[in-house]
Amino acid sequence: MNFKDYIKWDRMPTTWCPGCAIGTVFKQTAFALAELRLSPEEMTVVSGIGCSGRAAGYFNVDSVHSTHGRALPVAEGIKRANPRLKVVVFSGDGDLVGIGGNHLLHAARRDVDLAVICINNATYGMTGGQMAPTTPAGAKTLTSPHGSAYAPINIQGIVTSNRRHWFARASTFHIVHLQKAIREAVEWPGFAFIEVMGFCIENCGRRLGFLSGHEMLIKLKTDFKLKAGPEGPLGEFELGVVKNDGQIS
Amino acid sequence: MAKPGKTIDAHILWTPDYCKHCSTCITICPVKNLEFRDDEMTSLGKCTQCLLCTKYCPDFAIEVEPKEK
Ligand SMILES: Cc1ncc(C[n+]2csc(CCOP(=O)(O)OP(=O)(O)O)c2C)c(N)n1
Repeated sequence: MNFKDYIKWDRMPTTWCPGCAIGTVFKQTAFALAELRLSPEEMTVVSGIGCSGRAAGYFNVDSVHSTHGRALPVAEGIKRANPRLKVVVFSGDGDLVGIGGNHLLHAARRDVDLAVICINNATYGMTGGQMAPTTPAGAKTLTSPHGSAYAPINIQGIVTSNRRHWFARASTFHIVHLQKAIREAVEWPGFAFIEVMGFCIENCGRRLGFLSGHEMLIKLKTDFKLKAGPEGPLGEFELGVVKNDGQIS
Repeated sequence: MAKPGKTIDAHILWTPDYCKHCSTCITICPVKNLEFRDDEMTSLGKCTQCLLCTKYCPDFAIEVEPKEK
């Protein structure tokens, strides 16, 4: 299989802004699916609402663009009705962790066999850059003009609080690691969650003083480092995989 | 199928229909090989085929096809 078989070319170019991080994640997902040689008949993509949610319509597989925050329940329904399918959820942070936070708690607890790719751009991109649960403390957004007063949500803590878990943090600068993480998540027999650190240049970055998507990409390079050892949880600015197959160690 | 690209160097294909002019490829290139001239992508002939532009382009607009040396 070639990665080109996973993309609806008549829908290109995408609606995302120039330099948007979602495009990079979309492309790396297509590369990862091609490396896994998954045939388009044996997989499906589900997404919620938001800029990142638009990706479901660009994959050349059966896909559902569900309602805001409900990507996980829709995906879980598909998986339970047809366990043979590989189900990939592709959505944003506001969708999966904000309005859909409760579904995330329980899908992770029930360990449903899904691969969830969450693009964390620390804002509600599509609606104009409002403060999201993932916005870092002190960051200026449309609805927090003096800087966010709250600490961001700890997604790693939510997912890894279950004994059996698979969690990865990747970034759109470290693309080799991102692609490897997507491949591993699709193959993991259980709930696999990837938090991809991305960015939103038009609705969030400009307010923070960035001039181009590339500047935000370089910020990811300087901020985030790949974790050296395999043990223990990831630090705030570390990328890597945390997993446990349910054995009591 | 994907729209055909323009050949801007011996092995570099650029697809104007997909390019959003975000300049990620220009700034990521380690040898500063790419440049916009009148909204047209131009290659300055310094390409080392490292494929960074192809990997980082969010819109499938630039493709380097490595040739055997
Ligand atoms: C029930 C409901 N509430 C609110 C909205 C408005 N809305 C549309 S997209 C969006 C934010 C999506 O943010 P995120 O999931 O972070 O995706 P991004 O656009 O940043 O990729 C909101 C609040 C909606 N469509 N439906």
